[in-house]
Amino acid sequence: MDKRILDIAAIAAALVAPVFFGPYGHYIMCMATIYAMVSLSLNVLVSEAGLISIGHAGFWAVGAYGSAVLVERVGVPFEVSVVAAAGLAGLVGVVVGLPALRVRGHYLAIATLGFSLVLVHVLYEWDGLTGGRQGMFVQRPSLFGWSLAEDRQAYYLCLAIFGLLVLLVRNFRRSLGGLSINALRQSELAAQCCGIDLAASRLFAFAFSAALTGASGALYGAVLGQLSTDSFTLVVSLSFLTMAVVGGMSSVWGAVLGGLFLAGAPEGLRAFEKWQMLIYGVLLIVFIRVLPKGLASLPERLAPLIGGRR
Amino acid sequence: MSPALRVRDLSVYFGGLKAVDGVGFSVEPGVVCGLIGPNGAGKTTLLNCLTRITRPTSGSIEAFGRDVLRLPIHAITRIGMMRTFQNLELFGDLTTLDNIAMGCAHRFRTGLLSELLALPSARRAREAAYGEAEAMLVELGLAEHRDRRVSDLSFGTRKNVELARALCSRPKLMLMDEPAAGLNGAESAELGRRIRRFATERGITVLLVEHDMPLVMSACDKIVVVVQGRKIAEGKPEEIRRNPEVIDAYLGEG
Repeated sequence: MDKRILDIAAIAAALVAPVFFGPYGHYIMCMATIYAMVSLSLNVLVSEAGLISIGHAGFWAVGAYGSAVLVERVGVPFEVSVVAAAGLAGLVGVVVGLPALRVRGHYLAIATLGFSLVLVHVLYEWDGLTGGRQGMFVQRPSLFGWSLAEDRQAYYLCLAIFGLLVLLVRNFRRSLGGLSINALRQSELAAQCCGIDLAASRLFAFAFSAALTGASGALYGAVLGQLSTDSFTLVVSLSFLTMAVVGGMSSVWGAVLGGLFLAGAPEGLRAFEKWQMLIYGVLLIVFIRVLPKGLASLPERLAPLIGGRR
Repeated sequence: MSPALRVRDLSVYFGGLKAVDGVGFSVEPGVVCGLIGPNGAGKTTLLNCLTRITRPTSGSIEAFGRDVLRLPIHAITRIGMMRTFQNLELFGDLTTLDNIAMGCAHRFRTGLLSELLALPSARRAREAAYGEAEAMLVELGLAEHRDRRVSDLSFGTRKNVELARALCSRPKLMLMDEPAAGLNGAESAELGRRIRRFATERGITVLLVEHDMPLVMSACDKIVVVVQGRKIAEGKPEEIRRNPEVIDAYLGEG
């Protein structure tokens, strides 16, 4: 299948790409991969489960600070801290999801928003653990004794973890559990009559999405080298949603394109910094109206135009 | 042996409105039981109580000796109850095959963790579920629609998909809400033969809510008549047909 060839080509391109860029390019590539993980997690939540979160920066913060605290204050190896950060974010996802399960749509969005605002405030005030207003430094990780001092090396770590997360999501999509959560989004009534536990399924989707974002957060802190609560504001949550919509919600390709968009956008928009949120907002509306399945759906949308009319 | 279904003194009040008012009846295993009555008589509300969508104000429901009202909605299918819907409840974006597989997915599911890691057990579970779905697809003559999105199918075909999904759960008690609505005479007659076969070949007990009188009279072993939330008659089709009260309230002359 040509689709498979496309996938292999993309993997190859991702592997050789660092050759063509300098250190700053490597940094942007790290960020693109890290954002792509968040985009992937929103795909699961929004596109598969039909739930919405405007507080994913909160789960990102749980992952980032969780990993940093484990590495810096407890001395846990970095690779273990990534898994722990994902688990912790998943657990927080369950806690946030429990009351949120009773509400849907706008109400769920507000509940996740409330969570992320409270969390950031707590992190800001908790000086002893997080450095509070000064923020905290995070050392560059070494992996099984290999130093990842350069962004080029860190990029390959990000890429490897992104690959693992993609596998998990793919497995999920192909499983009976994934089918069930998808079915639940389309008809709650029929799905429940088919034996699906609505509460447990929703909670799982929420926790799974949060865990993926948590893993991303752990890498974010490590690549950036420092953490401050400014990185986890409402604006960040909204830019995550914009990224997921712009890239496309229903495929890994969409997640990758979304990641590239969010990592590249600040560079392209540098001259319009004050207008950034406005531009994101306009993009979000334009995409939902014109290209609801995101950049990833461009080929199938353009194919009829290029191939001529039948 | 306990009956497949026993409803006792069931009432549902919506505010001051008595949608169902003290209805009781039972259905023996393997019997096709019709539930008829004019629009607004409370038939769908009664079905919704049986499948735990609506909470009754009072009364009790037992299926195969189990207290249905103590089960959550998703556990209904585990004791062998399945339903179809008056206005269809399908998973529109999924394919015909996926829809049917959902009928039996719950019988095969392994844990979520094994599914995330795609462990062999999870893969076998998926294959087993889709194997049964494929067989049901062929049995109900839906093979040509296998990979099409169900929202693209005609109404009649979608009804068939919903039926296939219900059968795929291997129900012991099937609750059907107006399965003949929208079907023509020939299709409705075929449906009637099918329902008879469910009972005789698969031993499925059927509770059939329906307005199509030829179908009800030919397919059912017994009939319960409700009018304005109350049961006014219960008996064999020929008894119901001659019952003056039923003729007066529902069947009319003819």
